[in-house]
Amino acid sequence: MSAGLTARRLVLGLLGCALVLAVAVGVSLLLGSVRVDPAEVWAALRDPSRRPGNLHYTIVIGQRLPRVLLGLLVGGGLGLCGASFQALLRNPLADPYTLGVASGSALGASLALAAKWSLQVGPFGGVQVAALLGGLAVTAVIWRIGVVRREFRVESLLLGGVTVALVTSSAIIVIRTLADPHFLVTLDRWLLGSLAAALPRDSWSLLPFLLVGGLPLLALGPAFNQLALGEELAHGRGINAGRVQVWTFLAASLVTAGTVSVAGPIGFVGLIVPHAVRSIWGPDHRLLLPGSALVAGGFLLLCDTLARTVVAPTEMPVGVVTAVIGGPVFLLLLWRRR
Amino acid sequence: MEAPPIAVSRVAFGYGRAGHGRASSGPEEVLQDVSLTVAAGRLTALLGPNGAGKSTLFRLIVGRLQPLRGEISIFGQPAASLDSVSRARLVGYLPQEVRAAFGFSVGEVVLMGRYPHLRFGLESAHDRGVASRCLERTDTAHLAARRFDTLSGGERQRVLLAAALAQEPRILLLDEPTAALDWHHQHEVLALLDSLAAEGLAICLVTHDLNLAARYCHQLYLLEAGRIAAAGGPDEVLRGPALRRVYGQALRVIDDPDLGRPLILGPLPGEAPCPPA
Repeated sequence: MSAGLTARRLVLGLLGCALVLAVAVGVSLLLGSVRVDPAEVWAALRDPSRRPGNLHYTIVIGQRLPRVLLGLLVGGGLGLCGASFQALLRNPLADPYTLGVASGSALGASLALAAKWSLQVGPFGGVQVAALLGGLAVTAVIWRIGVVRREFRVESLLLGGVTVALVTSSAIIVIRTLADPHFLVTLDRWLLGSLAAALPRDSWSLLPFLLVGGLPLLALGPAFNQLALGEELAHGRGINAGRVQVWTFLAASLVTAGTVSVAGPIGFVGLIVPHAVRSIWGPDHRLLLPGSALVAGGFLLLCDTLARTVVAPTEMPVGVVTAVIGGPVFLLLLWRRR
Repeated sequence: MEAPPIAVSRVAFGYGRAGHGRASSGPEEVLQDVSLTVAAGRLTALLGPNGAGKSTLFRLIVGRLQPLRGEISIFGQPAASLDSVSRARLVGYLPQEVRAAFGFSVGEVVLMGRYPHLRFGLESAHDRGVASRCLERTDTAHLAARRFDTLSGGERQRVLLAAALAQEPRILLLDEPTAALDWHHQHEVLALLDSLAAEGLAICLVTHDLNLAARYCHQLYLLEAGRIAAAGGPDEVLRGPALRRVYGQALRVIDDPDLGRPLILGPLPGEAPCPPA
């Protein structure tokens, strides 16, 4: 029989995805608004303690490396959550923001920026904490709407998510109207999504979310495959569909809120990467989930490299680049599916 | 003697507010005092009008719903005490409503039936062998590379039956397995189920086709508004008074001239098919 995922296909597929990520990491470290010789990049990476005073050393170790680390974690989280939300809602057009998590985070961040909230909790800054709380608050609201007696109501969830997004964007407009014009620039940068302010501590603060929420999602591949044919059939195969759905919703919302809190809402990554991985390696979630995480990490890094270099010495928010590249690619995928 | 594959004893069930702390209002019971046995080596049919509670009974047996009262046992063990994977190794369940998302191939869909047997989350060569035999038996091997969501209703049903067989259960619960099939495949599927039963499987199917039940099934249960209205072999149930009470007086039962089994015919011209009250 030709079809089906074998160990060999799984390993080859993951190697292919890892290669995409590896190339993207290399490109991101080598390219930037300042030209650094590849040999110098390599030397800096090999011995980070050698020449702390050197400018190129500072660029590679102090700026590019933390940004690459954050980019691959944020991208990986978005790819994994995108594939998970698509499996959960049984809809390839879903993305990590479909259920309103990002809107909640955006509202939280806007409030914190407008109030000039300068709280610091461990590695978390005030805006980050507010974004996280906003995202989790929306998750709680959507939970109340869409989870009835531990049963999952997909239609209620979708409608709830769309409504929450509309309400929060109106609230953000109210904040913008009342706020000091000075702060609008900062707010817009945040709302478009950016890795520009990446510090090593951002990656550290995202890591717990990926470990607590992301690792369990990776293990759900076989269950997601069964759920593609409906809860009833999955139940007959020995899967507690309600429990899988509820935990997926919570875990994916947590990871999404985490990524948005450190990088803002970066669009399209969680939507098109699972699509692309599915169209190359097939719909099996055992490969799709880790594959989407790897490729999305790479995709975000490549987009971020463009964001840093195309209009150098200034730079664009990476969310603009992902939208400009992701939008047409997505339309092309839809076109091919006709 | 080994306990029967499935024994349902005095089971009652109601949708609504059950188990939600408002028992005083009392759910409306869709099943009342239902008892039945599904035996190994035979085809058992659940008959009855829409809404009689046939699918609900299946959902209770597989633990998707919990009974308000009564006992359900699988090979002598209380169904509620079985963990979901052990139950899935014993009971294959083909529900009426199945979705198709993400363009899985037919081969992949049938391999998914192996889920309760997987050890490390991946199918082995043995699993592939089982799946490909099940494709052969359901006359769907030629579809293996096709996308499941591009199949016709009848092809889908046969593929899902193959997936249920790939689960290698000892009991099969099939909710209207022939509903979307053409005449030829209806008989082919029932002949297949008959031979599977002869190999020792316990099979219970919901069907609205009284003649298929008459022709192939050994034990029939007729459900009416959540209660068992008649039980027994085809002659007892299909020639008994309950059938007319459930389906209306205009229904006619004659003898199949070749098989001697009951053959059910619709009303004569001018006679209205009297709907159940």
